[in-house]
Amino acid sequence: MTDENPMLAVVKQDLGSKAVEVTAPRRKRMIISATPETYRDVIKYLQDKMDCYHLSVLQGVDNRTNFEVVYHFWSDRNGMFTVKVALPHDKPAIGTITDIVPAAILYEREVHDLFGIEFPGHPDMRRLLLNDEWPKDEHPLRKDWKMDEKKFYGGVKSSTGGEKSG
Amino acid sequence: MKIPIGPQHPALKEPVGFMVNVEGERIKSLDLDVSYNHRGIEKGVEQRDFNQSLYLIERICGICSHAHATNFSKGIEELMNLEIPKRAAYIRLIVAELERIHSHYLWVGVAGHEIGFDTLFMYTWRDRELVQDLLEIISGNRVNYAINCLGGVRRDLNEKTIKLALDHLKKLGERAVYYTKLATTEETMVDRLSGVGKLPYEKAKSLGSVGPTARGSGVDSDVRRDDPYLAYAEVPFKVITANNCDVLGRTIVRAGELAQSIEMTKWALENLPPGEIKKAPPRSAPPGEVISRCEAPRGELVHYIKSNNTDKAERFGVRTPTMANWPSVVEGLTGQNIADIPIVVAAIDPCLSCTSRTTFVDTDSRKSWVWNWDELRNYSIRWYRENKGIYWGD
Repeated sequence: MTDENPMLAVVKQDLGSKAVEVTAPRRKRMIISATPETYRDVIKYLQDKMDCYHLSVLQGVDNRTNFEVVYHFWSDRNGMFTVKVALPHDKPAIGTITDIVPAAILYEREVHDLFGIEFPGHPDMRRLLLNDEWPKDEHPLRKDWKMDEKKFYGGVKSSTGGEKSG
Repeated sequence: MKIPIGPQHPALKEPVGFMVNVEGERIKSLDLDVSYNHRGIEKGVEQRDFNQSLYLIERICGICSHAHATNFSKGIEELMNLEIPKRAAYIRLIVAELERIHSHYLWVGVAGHEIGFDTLFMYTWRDRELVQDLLEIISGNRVNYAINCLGGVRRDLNEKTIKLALDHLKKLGERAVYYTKLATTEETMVDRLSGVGKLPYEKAKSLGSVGPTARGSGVDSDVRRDDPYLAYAEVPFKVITANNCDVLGRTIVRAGELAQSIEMTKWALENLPPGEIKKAPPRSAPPGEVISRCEAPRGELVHYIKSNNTDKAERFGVRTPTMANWPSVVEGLTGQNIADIPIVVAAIDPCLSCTSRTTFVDTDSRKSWVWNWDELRNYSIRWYRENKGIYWGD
């Protein structure tokens, strides 16, 4: 686990000021922090120069003060590259990458569904995992989310008056 | 137009709804709805400590439960900077490969059933019992083996178990050879599967397909080889690929992997290193993040874990292989026949244990109707019998 990633110096030099920070916890793992302005360039660089053909997943993180969208790209030769982009906590939004990475189509829907992060430009932004009756502005993986007992979250309405989540 | 989709049966493991847009027999477009079974496990893990989480995560999936538990424990162990004993890594690997064997046997059976070849279903599920028995002897459980604990494994293997396992594996090895031969040469099966659910190499790459679905389209990737974990760097094996780019390719890959996994398990049992099976883990993990990957029976499984110096995870994200493979189902079905839906959907091996409702919309007459999985399967078998003469008898 202490072995070093031989690509670290190369990536650092190539990306220059496009990356806020580049670290490598171990061989085959690298974490690149980018900004909403540069993340597309970083992703294109990874695709063209680092042979990253596979988007493993993109995920959201709620850090309480801000949101992060985390892209995980895999290259057979160079290992896993994680691109992190920090977004403001109110009205988080980041442009879609489905035009350059088609595999992102469901993952962006998932993050939008569970975190409420907008992806302008996504061709088909509907809820993915939560049911249609889930309240519109509630995103359960946000740290400040709490279930409101009075609201209906889908499933079967019980006949005794109280409503239960399915 | 609003299309009614019937209520789901509560006993289902993974219900998924399809909205199929058809023109005559051809599928014009396909939409899917995976929202029926969101259980909030990611949120649940944030509120439980690592040991409790392990139990919860084991229950994400009933078939590849060990893959999830292994992936999570190895991620947490990486965060804690804890190296597990070698013997424990081998035992985890043995259970993981046995799980792959039973999962692939299950898949070959289900695929046989979907195309109306029920004899194959009976054969493979009988053989699968041997693996299930073995897993029960090793771990005490037939499903959700719970062999993992943070820092190692819960139970050791003794000489008697190893001998019994090698015995069973010899029998299974003979059967795997037979199934490989069947999948590649049995004429009716080849006719029924080749050219169905086309997924070209380029598409498989760009849509992010994983596991046997990708390897059946010639994408040479396997987490076990490319990003070795446990003891995979030491165990000899070959990555099976096929260039058919259709359901037949995916079948050939799975049949080949059966044989490989059996050999790997044998090798690991024969070369099991001595020593302890568990190290005591610290209570909490220092702040950090880790991307843990493993090759589940259905493909690459990714866990993203962020720790915050407590005994709970700050964020736990899961991407299951089935999720990654949905876009390829849509790709594989567009332009195909309605009759191909069951086998193409089954070919990615979704955790679709029973049935799922499908609504059909005929674009000309604006008529819509709902079929359940059985009706669809029967239609498919009838269609192939009437149009292609493929039938395995009453």
